[in-house]
Amino acid sequence: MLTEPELMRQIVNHRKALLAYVLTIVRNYHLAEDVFQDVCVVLARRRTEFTEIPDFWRLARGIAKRQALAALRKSKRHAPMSPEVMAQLEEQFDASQSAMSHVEQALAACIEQLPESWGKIVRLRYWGQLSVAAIAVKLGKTANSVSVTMNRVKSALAECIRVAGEANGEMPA
Amino acid sequence: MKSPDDALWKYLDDDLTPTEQRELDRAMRTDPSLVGKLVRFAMQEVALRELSGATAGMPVRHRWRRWAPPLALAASLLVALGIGLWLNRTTPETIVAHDVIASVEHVQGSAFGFADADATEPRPLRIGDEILFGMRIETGPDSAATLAWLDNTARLALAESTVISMPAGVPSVPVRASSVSLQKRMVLHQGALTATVAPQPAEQPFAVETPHALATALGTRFRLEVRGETGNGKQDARRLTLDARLPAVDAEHPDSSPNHQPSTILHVEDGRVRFMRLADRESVEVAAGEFAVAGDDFPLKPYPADTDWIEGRLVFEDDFSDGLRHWFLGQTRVNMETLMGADEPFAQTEGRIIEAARFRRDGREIPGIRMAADDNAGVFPFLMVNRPVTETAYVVEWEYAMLKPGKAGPAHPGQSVDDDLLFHEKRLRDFKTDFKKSELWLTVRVELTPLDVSHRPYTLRRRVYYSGRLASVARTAFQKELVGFSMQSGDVFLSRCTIRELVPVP
Repeated sequence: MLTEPELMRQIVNHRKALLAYVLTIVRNYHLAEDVFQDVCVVLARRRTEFTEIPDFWRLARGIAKRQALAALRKSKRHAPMSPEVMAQLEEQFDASQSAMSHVEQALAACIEQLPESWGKIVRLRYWGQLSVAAIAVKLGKTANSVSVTMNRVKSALAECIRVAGEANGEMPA
Repeated sequence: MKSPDDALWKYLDDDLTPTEQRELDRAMRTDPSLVGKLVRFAMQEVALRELSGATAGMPVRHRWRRWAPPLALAASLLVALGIGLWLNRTTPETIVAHDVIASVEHVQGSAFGFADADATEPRPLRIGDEILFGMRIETGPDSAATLAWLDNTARLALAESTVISMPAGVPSVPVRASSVSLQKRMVLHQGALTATVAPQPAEQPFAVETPHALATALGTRFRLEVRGETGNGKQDARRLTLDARLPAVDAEHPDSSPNHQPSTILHVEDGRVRFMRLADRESVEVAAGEFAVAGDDFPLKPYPADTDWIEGRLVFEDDFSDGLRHWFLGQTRVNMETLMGADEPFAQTEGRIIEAARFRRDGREIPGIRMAADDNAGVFPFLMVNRPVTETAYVVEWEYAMLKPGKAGPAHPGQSVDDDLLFHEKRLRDFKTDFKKSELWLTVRVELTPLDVSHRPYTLRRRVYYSGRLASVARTAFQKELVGFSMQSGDVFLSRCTIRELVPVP
């Protein structure tokens, strides 16, 4: 039987990657957090069934997929991605979920490298928890302009993280 | 569609139209590198939210952060257990919390602090020591410790050999205000504690979880009383106290006594506490001067503080859905000259009936047993069941409907259905009766507790009169291991018989 501390360790180790996986399905961070809680509930309920877990990630990812799709159905907002894309997502996450720690480590350094105006937008959006519309008001720009800039900043960060990962051999292409 | 990157970010922000999503889906099917990008973008989004949540307004991380992963997971498991709160969801409605939650106010004997639930390195606690979120506190044998909350709203007195976990904690970053309720949620793993708690805001209740139950102090009404009494704005002028105990389990004889069944006992001295049994999430409110027990063998109900015996294991219950399967039938023939009765096999006649039947109650047809007595023949039908009711104390309850009162038989002027429970046997045991009547329906309840350790044979008879005539007798023959019901006159519909053990209050 998987002990509670073992289960705790496994969940801690995979929490962020699971959140990211769920986010790709439900495409809403807060909903992804809710789904992750449901995944924890299922894991805790079934803890005593697990005699040994050779691949906790795949087990948790399978539960997360079912919970995420159920949440998506319940929200009635969107259809899920096609089965082919869903299958590709699973493959990609299975191959690269361990890179989550690298993403975290590289992110802080990459943010420091951003131009000041871009860094400000990121801080307002994430640290200040302002909506795009609120940032636009604060900066005297249009919401669309802020949205476009925000996506550019995030793409720049992604590229920075990818390059750092390739340099260290830690990030899949 | 715009650039692939832009579409992917919009997808993760839930900002694509259905048409744009279909286009993106098509693009990802033909270009798997886009799927890889989506994965990396999603990881980055999670990392960004985590990073911003961990450092907002704080150039230096607070020391509690070193426990953040286990704390976050502990929160997950709390959710798994139905607690239902999560730490890291941020909104503009924020507060800033601290890593120190309480301090040690008193130590007697030995008390130790551990960094978290799994830590193995104890740190001896001394008066004035800070207690941090997520810490585990243990007291040794013949020891005690008192913890005082920094905001002076709660005080925990830990009894000997007690293990508690402090709340999983709140981040030192802006968090949703409701998450702060985690500040007042302890876990009592074993032992006993007494919590003295000032009235709490409704969204931040004080709660103690045990392996069997969750006790939540209900502060709203209490707070109103405080304001009315003090009038000076003090929040802690009166306090409620709850005492959650976990009886020790006898390792060698775990089932030797109901008192040793794993359970949690809650005593409330002031205020009100919601007490939820985790196994089935059934809950009950326990008021000042009451207590309740949560455990597998205990009905969840409040008892007055001066109660000596509480309901325990269910010994027997029959709603007669299997008819008379568990019962044997007989009749008592009374010699009208000597008034002595003798039991004999049951023989059904037109006026003497025991049979499975159905009856409508609250718009629903329920199973039961119809019993009728032949008023003039001096022959009274009964049904009995063998159950091991010999050793300890029991509460026996019969529920039935009076379909038709008796018309003949000896009259008992002045006797009525409401006050004529008689006890004719030797009082080897104490007993307490309760009698409820609702239209046709009667509930007769008797609690029996031993007064004499010899357990000499005796029989308890509860007699119910109707319109001045004896109608029914519910019999419990202890030592003979018999429980039964007999009819003297009239016509009744039996719907339930329940026998539970009574156990001394631990």
